Amino acid sequence: MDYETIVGLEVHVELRTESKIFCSCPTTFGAPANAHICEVCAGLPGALPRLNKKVLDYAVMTALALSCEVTKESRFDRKNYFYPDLPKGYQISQLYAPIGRNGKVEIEYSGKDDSSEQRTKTIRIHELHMEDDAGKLIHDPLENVTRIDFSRCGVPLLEIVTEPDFRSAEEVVAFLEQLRNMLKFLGVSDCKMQEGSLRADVNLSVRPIGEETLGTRTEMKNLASFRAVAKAIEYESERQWAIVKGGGTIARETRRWDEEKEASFSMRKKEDAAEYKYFPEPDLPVMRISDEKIETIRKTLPELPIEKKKRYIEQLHLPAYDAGILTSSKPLTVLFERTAELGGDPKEASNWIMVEFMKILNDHGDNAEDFEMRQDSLGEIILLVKDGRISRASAKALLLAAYEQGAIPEEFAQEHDLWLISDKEALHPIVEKVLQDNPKALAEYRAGKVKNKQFLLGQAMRETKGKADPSILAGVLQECLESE
Amino acid sequence: MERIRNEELERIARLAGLSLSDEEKELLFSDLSRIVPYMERIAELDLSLENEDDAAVNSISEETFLREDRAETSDISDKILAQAPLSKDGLFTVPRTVE
Amino acid sequence: MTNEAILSLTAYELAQAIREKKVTSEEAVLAVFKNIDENESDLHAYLSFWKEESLKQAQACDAIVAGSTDPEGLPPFLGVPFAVKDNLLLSGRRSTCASKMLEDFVAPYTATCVEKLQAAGAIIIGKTNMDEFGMGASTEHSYFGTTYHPMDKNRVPGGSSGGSAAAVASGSAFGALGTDTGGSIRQPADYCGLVGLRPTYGTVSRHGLVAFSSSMDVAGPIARDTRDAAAILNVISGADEKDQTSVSSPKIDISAMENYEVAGKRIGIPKELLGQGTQTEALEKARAYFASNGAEIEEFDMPILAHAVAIYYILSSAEASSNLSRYDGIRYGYRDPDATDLSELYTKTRSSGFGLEVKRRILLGNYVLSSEHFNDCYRQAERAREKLKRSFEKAFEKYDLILCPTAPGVAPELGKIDQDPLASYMADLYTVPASLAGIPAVSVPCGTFREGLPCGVQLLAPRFGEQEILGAARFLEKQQRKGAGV
Repeated sequence: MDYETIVGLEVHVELRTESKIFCSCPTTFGAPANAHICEVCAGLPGALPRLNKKVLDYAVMTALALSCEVTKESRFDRKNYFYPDLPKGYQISQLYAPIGRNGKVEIEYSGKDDSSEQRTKTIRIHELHMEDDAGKLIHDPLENVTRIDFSRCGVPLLEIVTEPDFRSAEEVVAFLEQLRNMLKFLGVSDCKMQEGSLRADVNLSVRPIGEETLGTRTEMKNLASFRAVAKAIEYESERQWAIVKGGGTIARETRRWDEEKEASFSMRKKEDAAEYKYFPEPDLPVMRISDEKIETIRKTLPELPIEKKKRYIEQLHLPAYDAGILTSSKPLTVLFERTAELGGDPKEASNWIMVEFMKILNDHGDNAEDFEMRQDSLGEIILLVKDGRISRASAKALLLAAYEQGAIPEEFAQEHDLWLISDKEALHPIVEKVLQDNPKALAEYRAGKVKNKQFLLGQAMRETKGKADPSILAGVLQECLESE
Repeated sequence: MERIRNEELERIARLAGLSLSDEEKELLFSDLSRIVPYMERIAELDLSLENEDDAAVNSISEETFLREDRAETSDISDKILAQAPLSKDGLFTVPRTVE
Repeated sequence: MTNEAILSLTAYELAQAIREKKVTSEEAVLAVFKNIDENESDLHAYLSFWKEESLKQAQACDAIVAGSTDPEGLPPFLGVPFAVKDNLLLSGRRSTCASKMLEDFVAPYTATCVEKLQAAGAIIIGKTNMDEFGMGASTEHSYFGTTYHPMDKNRVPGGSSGGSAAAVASGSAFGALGTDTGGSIRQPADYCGLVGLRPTYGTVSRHGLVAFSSSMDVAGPIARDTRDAAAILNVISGADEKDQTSVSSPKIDISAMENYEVAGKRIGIPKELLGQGTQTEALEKARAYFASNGAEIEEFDMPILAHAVAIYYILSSAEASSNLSRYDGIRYGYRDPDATDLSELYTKTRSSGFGLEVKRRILLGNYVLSSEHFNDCYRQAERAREKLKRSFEKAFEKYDLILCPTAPGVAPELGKIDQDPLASYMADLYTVPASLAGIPAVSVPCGTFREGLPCGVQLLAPRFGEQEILGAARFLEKQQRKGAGV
C-alpha cells in the first residue's frame, strides 16, 4: 500500500516597520535585552494598543497580492492564554474577521524525479491575519531558570494560513520560496528565517492513496530553514506512516523539529491547549476598509515576480530559465530592468547578468538576494561596449570593479586608460612601425603568404596593448599594405 | 438551568490561572451556581432579528486615528524593569519553562 | 476666609476665589489637609496622599496668580485640591487599585485624564480608596480596608469609587475623578449626596485607567455640584491618540446650563426601572419638579432592561477576566514567594494576589468565554447589548431625557452587600443600562430622606448628550435649593 502526505502551512511573517504594531517602540532586531519596551508592549496596567497604520496597509497589500478577499470590517480578537513570553496574558490576533480570506498562489516546482520539467499547482490561502509577536525566552542553565526579553513583544506579524493543499516537501519549499520572494518584492518583510522574521509551522497528516478522509495531523514548529522544512516533512511523513502501517494512531500534538538530530519531538498534546477563549478586542475599533482604500493600495502594488516572469518570457523573449532566475530575487530584478533600460537590449542585459554577473556573485560567495551594486553600472558598461569604446575584456574587468569597489564605469575606464583607440590617425604610425620592424613577414606577405596579414595585425594589437578597436586597426593595416 | 457542576468550575479555575482553597471553592461554587443560571436566562431572549455583524463592540473607526509608523524609544523601559519582582542582567526571571 | 468657609466652596468657586486672590491655594490645601488629619482615620477615603508636595504645588500656583495680569486667562482649576481614584495612574505614585496584587506598584506614567486635570491647574493631593479593580459597589472590597460613609460611619459610601465620593463629600477634596464601569461614579455620588457624571463612552481617554471592562470603563467627575461636574468634564474630555477608542466631543456650555428650558421637554421613565422605597420618593420629587415646570413626563416599557444586569455581568466579567490576565507576578506587582514552578507562579500569585470578588468575576468571565458557553452566554449577551442600544435609540426618538433612580435606596449598612453577591449585582439594575449603551448619565442629589441620608436621581441622554443631562440636573439642583430656602 502506498501513502500520500497532506500538508498545510501556517506562516508567520514579521513586517518590516519602524515601530511595533501597537506602540512606538522600535522593531530593531538584536537590541539589548528589554531596551525596547514600554507600557503597551510590556503589558502594564492602564496601557492600550494603538494600531500602526502601516501594518494595516501592509496587511491589505499582502492580502491583495495573495488574491485574498479583503475583509471590509476587519477586527482584532484576543487570544487568551498564560505563558511568560506573553505579557498581557493574551495575544491580540484576528479570529472572527481576519483581514484577508480565500486567496490563492500558483506555484511552480520541479518534481521529485529530478526531471527538469516544471509543474504548476494552485495553493489556496485560507486566511491572512495580523497579530503581535511574543517575547523571547532564554534558558539559563546555571540557575535552571528562564529569563525573558520582552523587546520582541509587539513586533507586527502577519500569519498566512494555507489550505492543506501540499502533497510533497518540494511543493512546500517552492511555495515558501515564492512567498518569500513575493513579500520581499512587496517590501513588507525581510523574510530572514535565521532571524525568525519568516517562520513556518507545518501541519501534516498521512493517508493511504485513494483514501478521502484526512488523517490526524501534527503541528511542527522550530523550522529555521527551507532545508529544515523539507527534512522535517520527510521525517514526519515516514514517522506517521510507520505508525499507521503498524496499526497505531497518530496523536494530535505539537512537535518540535530538532535540526541537529534531524528528528521531531513531541512538545505538547493539543487537547490541553485548545481553549483560547477568543473574544473581540474591545480596545481597538473595527477597521473599516473602504473600496477606495483597497483600490489605492492595489495601485501601489508592484509587479509581482510571477507576473514579471511571464512578461519577460512573452514580451522580452527571454528563455524561461533566465526569466525564472532574474525574477527570483528583488535586487536581481531591479538590476536587470535598469540594465535593459539603459543598454536598450533586454537579451544582452540578461546574458550579462546570467553569465558574468552570476559568476562574480559565485566567486564572492555572495547571495543573489542581497547583493549591493550601483544599479546603473552594468547598463553603462554594456553601452560602452556597444559604442566601441571599450573591449569586452575591459568590460568584464569594469564589472568586477563596479561590484567590488563600486567603481563608476566611465571614471574607472578613464583612470585605468581602458579606452579603445579607434582614431585612424593615431593607429597609422603604429602600423607603420610594425611593418618596419617585421620586414621579413612583410616581404613574405607581398610574395603571396596571405596569412602573414593576421600575424602583422596581432603584432599591431600587441603594440597598442590590446586597446585598439580591432576592426579599425584591421582597416588601417589593409590601407598601409595596399599603399606600399 | 442545571446547577454548575464542581468539576466544571474546577476546569474554569484552571483556565483562569487560579488555584482555590477548599473554603473558597465551596463559597465561590455556591455563588456561581446561583449567578450563572441567572445570567444564562438571556439565552431565552429572542434576538433572531438582530444582525450579528452589528454586535456590540466599539465601532468607531477613524482612519486618522491610526498611528503613523514612527519609532520612538520609550523613556520608561528602565522604570518598567525596575518593578520586576525578580530579574537579572536586564532580563525578567521565571521558573524554568518546559520545552 | 475661615477653613469652614473655604471647604464649603465648590471647586469652581474656589478656583475663582483663588484667581481673585480672596484665598490662596496654600490656604485651601492646608484646610483640606487639616480636614484629612481630623477625619481620615474615621473615613479611610484615601489610600495615599502627599501633603508636602501638595503645599509646594499650591505655593507655585499662588506665585502664578500673584504674577498674572490676566486672571481670567489662568487655567480653570489653578490651585484647587483634587483627589483621584487609585485605578488612575499618576507617575511616580503608587497605584494599587486597592489590590494586594499592586500593593507596591509605582506608576511609570500618568493617565491622560489625570494629566489633563493637572494641566488645568489642579493639585492632585492623593489617591482614593475603591473596590479592588473597580469590582464592587461598596468599597468594602478594598484590600486595604473599607471606606466609611461621611455622614454615617455604619454605612458604606457606595462603590467602586467610594473613596473619591467620601473625600469630596467630607471636605477632603474639592472634586475627584472616579471611574464608572457599571455605575461606580454614579452610585457612590448618589449615596454621598454628590453629582456623579458618567460621560459618553470614549469622550474621556482610558489611557492610564487600569482596565476592568474595556468596552464600558470611563473616567468622570465626582463633584459638589453640576457646574463642577461640567467644568471637570470640559477639562478631561477630548480625543487621545493613546486611546484609539476615544472620540472628541463638544464642550459643555456651563452658562447655558443656567438657562435650561424645562418647559416642553419630553422625559421618559422606563417602567422596568421604577423602584420601591426611598428611591421612589426621590424620583417622585424630581418628576414633580419637572412636571410643574412644563415638562411632559411619560412612563414607557423597555423590556430588555429586565436583562440588563445579566448582560452587563456576562460582558464585563468576560473582559475583566482577560484584562486581569496580565497580573502574573513576572513584570510587576505581587509574586507569590512559594511558587516553585511556572504553573504555581501563575496560580499561587493570582490566588493570593486577588480578593474574593475579583476571583468571582474572573471565574465568571472564564465561564462565559469557555467554548461550551461562548455562544449561549458571551455572543448572546453581545447581541442583547446591541438590542439594548437600539431600544435606547428608539426611546430617544421620543424623549429628550430618561429619568430613573440611581440606586435601590440610600447607602446600605456595612457588611450587608457582600452577603449575597447575586443580590448586590441586581442592585446595579439602574446604572448598568447606560454603561452598556455607552451613553452619558448623571446622578444628581434630590434631597435627604430616611435618617438624613441623601438620595438622588439619574438622567440619561443619547451619546454626547451631556449638555442636556447637565442642564436638567442643574435645574433639579436649583429647584432643591429653592425648596430648602437657599
